[in-house]
Amino acid sequence: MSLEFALAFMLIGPAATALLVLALSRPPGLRDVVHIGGALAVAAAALFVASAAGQGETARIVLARPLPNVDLAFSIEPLGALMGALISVLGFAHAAHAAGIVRATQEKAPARLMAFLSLALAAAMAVAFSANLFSLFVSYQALILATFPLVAHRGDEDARRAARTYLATLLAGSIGLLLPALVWTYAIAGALDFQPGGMLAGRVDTFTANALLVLFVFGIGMAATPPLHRWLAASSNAPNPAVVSIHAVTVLPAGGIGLLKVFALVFGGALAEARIASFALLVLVGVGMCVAALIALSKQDLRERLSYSCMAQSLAVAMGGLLALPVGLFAAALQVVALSCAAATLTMAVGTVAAATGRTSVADYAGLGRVMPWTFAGFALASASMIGLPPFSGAWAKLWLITAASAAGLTWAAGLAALAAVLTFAHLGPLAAHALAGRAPTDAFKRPDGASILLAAPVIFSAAATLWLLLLADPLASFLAPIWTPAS
Amino acid sequence: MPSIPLNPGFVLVLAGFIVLAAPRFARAPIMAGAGLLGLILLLEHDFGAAAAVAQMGLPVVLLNLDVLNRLFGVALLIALMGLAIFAHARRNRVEDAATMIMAGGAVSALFVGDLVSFVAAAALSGLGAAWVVFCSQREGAERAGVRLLVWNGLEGLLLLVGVAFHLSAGADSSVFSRMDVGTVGGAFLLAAFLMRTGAPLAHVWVKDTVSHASPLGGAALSAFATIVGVYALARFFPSEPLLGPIGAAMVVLGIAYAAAADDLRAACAYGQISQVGVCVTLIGLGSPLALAAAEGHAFTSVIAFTALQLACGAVLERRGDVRISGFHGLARAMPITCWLLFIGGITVAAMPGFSLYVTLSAGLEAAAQWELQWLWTLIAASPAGLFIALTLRPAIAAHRRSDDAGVINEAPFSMLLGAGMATFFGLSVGLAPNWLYGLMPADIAFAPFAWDRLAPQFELLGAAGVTYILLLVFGALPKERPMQLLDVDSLYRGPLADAGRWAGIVILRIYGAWQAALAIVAERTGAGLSAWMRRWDWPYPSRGWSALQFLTVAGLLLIMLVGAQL
Amino acid sequence: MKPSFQPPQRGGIAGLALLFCAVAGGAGLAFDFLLNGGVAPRMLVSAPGGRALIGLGVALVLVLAAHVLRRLLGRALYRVEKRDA
Repeated sequence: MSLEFALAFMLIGPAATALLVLALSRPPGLRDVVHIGGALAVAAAALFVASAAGQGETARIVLARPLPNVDLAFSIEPLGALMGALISVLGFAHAAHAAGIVRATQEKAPARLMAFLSLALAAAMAVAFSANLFSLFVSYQALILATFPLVAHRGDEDARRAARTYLATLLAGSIGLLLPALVWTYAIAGALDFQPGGMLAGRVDTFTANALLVLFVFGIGMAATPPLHRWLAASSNAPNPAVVSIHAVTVLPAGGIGLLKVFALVFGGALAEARIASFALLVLVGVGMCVAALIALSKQDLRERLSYSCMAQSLAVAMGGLLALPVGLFAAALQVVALSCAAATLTMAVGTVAAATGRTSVADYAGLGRVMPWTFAGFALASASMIGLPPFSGAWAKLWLITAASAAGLTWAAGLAALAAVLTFAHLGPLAAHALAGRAPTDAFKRPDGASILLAAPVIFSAAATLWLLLLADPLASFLAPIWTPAS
Repeated sequence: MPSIPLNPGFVLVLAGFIVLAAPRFARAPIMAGAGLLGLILLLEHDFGAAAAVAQMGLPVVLLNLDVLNRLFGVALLIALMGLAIFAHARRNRVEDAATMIMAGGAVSALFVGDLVSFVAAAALSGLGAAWVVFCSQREGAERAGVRLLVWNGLEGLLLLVGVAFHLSAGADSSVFSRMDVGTVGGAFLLAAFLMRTGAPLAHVWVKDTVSHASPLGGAALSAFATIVGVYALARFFPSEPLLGPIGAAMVVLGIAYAAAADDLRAACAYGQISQVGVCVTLIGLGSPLALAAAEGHAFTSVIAFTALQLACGAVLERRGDVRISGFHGLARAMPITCWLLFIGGITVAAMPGFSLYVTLSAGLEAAAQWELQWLWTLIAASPAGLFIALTLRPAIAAHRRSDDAGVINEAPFSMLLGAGMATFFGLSVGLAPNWLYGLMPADIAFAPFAWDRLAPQFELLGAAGVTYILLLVFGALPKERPMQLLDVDSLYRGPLADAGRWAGIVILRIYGAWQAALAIVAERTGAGLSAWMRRWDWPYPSRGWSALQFLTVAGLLLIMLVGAQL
Repeated sequence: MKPSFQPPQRGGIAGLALLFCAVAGGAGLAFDFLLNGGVAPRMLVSAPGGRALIGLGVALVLVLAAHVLRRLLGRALYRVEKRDA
């Protein structure tokens, strides 16, 4: 199979899966098989593409050409291939989990939910494989529009209000800030294509660089930079498959990917010009990490707690990228991978627990680990990774982040990252520990047979994914190197 | 695929997973067998580093064997075998697995050759230790486990930050050289290692976890928990001047609390802190003899204190509590265990003929060579303190008559065997120390059994014992009653925790008020905006306007299309 | 506190222990003086009999410290721990 075909398949496949799920929504087994099978096929294609990218092969497909030098194009390059593989593999686990949740909680309109999950996956893959800023923008908008029905799925007043906040925040950011940034970049560079080493390198003066940096960072609202972070908490009350998708598989990672592409392939060397803005943004992001972790500590509902926790980790991605060093970009990329795997595990575990026992608040989790050992083993592993406890993968991402911060001479940024790790420990550590070690509750399960395999296995699978960085991390360094070395 | 050099610690971790699935009769043999296998691997391997594998752009050296870590490794593996035999008496497979993971992490940390793997292995060992505490059935064990997790998390964070700064300064992480405490990375690493070793202020986790753990867990923790810190100090900070006063403080603190504590396991933990403090001061001294003595002393004190904790564990198993105030009648009910306690006690009191004496006297010689009077006096005085606290006090208490008839209710055989094995290993090393001296780094031409060394030690212990017993006879000793001693952990469990909770509530109130204010502002703005928009929405004649709108839009489109063609 | 003369604890080994310690201490002291009597000590405390003084001092200090620690820091055992993490 050729690379172009694989690339097209990864973009169109999930959309086709969505249509098929809607068409074949009865019987429920068929719908689930189609959904999971589609996700599996996309994951296989993504892994194939990633291994090809590791050999240095590239491919590019163009879907439209609206303006001179600007086309709607998608290409295979190391960063996109890595992120595409990450998203699709987690998407496969999530598809299985969603099937389980939908059955266990008797969620209404499950086919529609699954269809939009697939569409969101398609849009996120498009973001990962976008070849220029225009395609990034279009895929980004598509992602917002695909996930908006997920937030509004339940249809009641709360869901509608949450969906309005979600849409308003993200659209305001993308149309109000990202679009002008896009246009300005086009005006400066004459093209919008991503280039290793940065397309703006050497072309911008200080004021432009600072202003563009601010516009881009706030415009990519999916990275949850305050003040455009409200969508994250607003979406935390959606049905669990939607929450998993938004927090861990599609939206938040897409924000991280977008930021990474902007920092590495748009700014590149020009980041050194934007010193004032990057300094201010570093302060914002660093303090934001700590405050988000602190707010998470105050939340007793686990879904809200996890949403703020994911926000804190996502801000670490921004911090890594803003440090203007290749090692910082590497740290940010590692952090996206670690964050996605850990967040997926945690949100899926919370969904499993809610479906099997109906418990969603922190105080009710004590001792549950004794009756649901597999789910909570995954929960504990993922918590350790989010916190940054060695030897789990989040620790290595944090290690590189602190190394990068100290190499850039910004010790206080390293301190803020460390403080955020401590606060993350405070809101996740005792929770996991009490769950595993407390007295087992006697009347935990709503259903007599506990949690089905579809609910528990994906948690274990993605928990195992948090460990994979240990083994496969080295190839990543050389894999990603072409991105930040300027093409000669 | 390159062959993976087999770090003995990996064998232990693997055995831990196997133990989770093994039937009851097989668990102890698997654990002991894994320890034996590790020992064989260790002794058979030549010195030198294995090839560096690259991971994330950093060299990872999985095995780097030299004299220093071989010595520590032998000690830990022997202690593990004693623990394995002891574990046969208990039915807790999860605890056995946790013990193996903790042991595996500790042993791996000893043998890896680069900083990143060291951090990973040490963190794994810490997580295993927390798991061991969680497995205990005692009251309050769960909270103690969470506290240990907090300490481990803090220490892991310090390690991570230290390594990061060390790397960013351009160092090669696979070269183990002496670190400079003046650099940021070095300072963080020193803080982390001191925390692991049980330096004052960070010593509470040792006592906290040992006193809340199960019989096996207490012994396992005292064997594996602090030794990694001692190794790290010996490897990375030899002859560091800061270590002298810190170690001295540990010695004093440990002995004072050991003499006053009522819980014997906590007292032994404090006693271990004091002997580890002796090691730390000797490491701070830094001469070849001092370093060798420190390492040998770590070897012997690990095994000796593990043996002591195993004996305490046997008492715990039968009596549910190891408080000295509750020891009356013990000598009649559990005679063998009492003997083991006594022998363990005189081992740690450095009685000649037992293991700690040979290494302590080497340490004394090292201090004497440098003519440091305070250090020499401290090291010389510590065995006397432990003699009183851990030998005489429990022995005298155990021989007090109790009111019941004295039915013999001895500990299970496996426990006695395990504790006995560890205890008598101390005796054998004490009688034939040249084997140990051969393992130690420096070439020590040292004769511990010369009369002019033996005599002063006897007179030291004798004088201390006589004084103590006379004080006992005159009623000057504190009465034994059930009690606990406050330590630094009372601070963070009591006042600090309350302060934290109060601060959290205040912040929540402020945050809530901020949110409410924002919501009001947003609502007012929204209402104002929509009111303003409605003012522009006046009725207009539809036909004309819509045609005008259509024509305008069409005209714009036309301009755009025509313009794009040009 | 007023020292009152009590006979050794009933059923205890305090007497036996006293005997052993006295014999060991005495023998040690004797050998120490014999071997090191005439030699000039390297340090003050390694003079003959110095270690006995150290032992005596340690015992006294330790008992005092035990009293002080127990008085200041001793608390009754608490049964139920409040939430502390």
